[in-house]
Amino acid sequence: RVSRDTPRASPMDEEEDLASQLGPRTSQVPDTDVSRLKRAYVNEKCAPEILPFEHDLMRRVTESVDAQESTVAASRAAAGSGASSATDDLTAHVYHAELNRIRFLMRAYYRARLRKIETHAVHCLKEPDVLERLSDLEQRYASDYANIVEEHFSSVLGQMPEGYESMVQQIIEEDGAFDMVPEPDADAHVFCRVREDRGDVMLDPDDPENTMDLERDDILMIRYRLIKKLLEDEAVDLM
Amino acid sequence: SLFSDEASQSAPARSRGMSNFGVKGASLVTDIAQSEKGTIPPYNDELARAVVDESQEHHRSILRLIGDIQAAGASLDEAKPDDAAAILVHHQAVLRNKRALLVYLNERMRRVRQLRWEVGTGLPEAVGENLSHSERSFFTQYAALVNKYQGRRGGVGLNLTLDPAPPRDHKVQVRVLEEYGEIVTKDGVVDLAKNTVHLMWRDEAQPLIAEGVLEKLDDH
Repeated sequence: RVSRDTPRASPMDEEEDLASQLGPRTSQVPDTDVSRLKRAYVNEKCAPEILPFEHDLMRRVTESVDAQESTVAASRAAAGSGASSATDDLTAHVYHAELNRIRFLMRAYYRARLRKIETHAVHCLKEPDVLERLSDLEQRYASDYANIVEEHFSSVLGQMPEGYESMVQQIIEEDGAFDMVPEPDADAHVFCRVREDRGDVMLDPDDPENTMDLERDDILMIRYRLIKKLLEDEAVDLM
Repeated sequence: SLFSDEASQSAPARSRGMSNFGVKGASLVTDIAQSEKGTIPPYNDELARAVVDESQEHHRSILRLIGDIQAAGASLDEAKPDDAAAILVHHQAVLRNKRALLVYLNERMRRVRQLRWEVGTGLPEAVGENLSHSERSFFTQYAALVNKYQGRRGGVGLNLTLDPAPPRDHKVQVRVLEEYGEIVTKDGVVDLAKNTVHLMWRDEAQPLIAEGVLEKLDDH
């Protein structure tokens, strides 16, 4: 994948080309949201740190799923009473399959985030700019989780000599650093694909002369820290 | 003295006469590191306690050394390099032990969490026997935490343990491995008699497959 030199149309592009040929999108919101959901999930899976929660997207997708479920249930009821045609059955099948795929993406998105929260619970709670990326439910989860971990660890750490019982400091020192709190590694390498032409971009502030010419569909393998801003701006997607 | 006679007699031959600092801690880490992935070996309470007790001994040594320095009329900053080094070694030994204990606890805790996602809220008896009291308590609390987050009220309203992999077919062929009786499905009542084969909706079959009641048949 990294060696793909000639920019090839991505599956996302093909979908959009086809859709534009079919005419303007009217009630196509579920489709656009699905591709956004898929991107959100893949980005979340690949990023070493937790990304901002997609409040609006998840709310819309949940509503769409619930609405589509009612449609499917209604058509299945119709099928049961023999009032529907073969086309209706097929439509119900297709809706059901799509629902399953969307639900998978939702589940996987929530799960990927919970994993990261569990790994870095204390870090999330003590850094305000990280905490604000979590949904309200996730913030409560992080807090409750940190508490049950502390309770469990203290069953052993509580027996340690005075000053050594903390799970966030090696030795309790006033004004000492919280040197036992794991943080995500922003220098981990990620693969990413450029979504739009950006021209010459300075990526590394420590090496300002070294710019990269970023064109749509370019693929980079690079430290996460250097493309974090581009990811926030939706100029790149992780892969 | 820096060496406990008792400890040097029970320690492996290679460390007799040499410092046995950190040996017990290393054993504890090895205990969990060498265990089969996906299983949880019995909680090694004896060894964990021994590591904690050793840490307490180091701490007593530190306090003694500090006491000796202050008794001689000096402040800690003015302590001789030998004394300062001795205190530092004991301190680092405690930190090492603490780290070993946490590696042990943390890895076991990770496997306990995994149980909730793979097996559900019911802790299998065979596994429960291997857990410490605190670990069993942690499992119960963690299971409840996940339930709360998944729930319809006050949660995201989605069972997150379903679909560990992307769905391929929305209906699956399954064979019944254990007699399960009748269940109500979206298609109506299905009698899960042992060895019968059914075509079921994947999301209805999946929990039963995870429990071992049904076996997914590949289509060939």
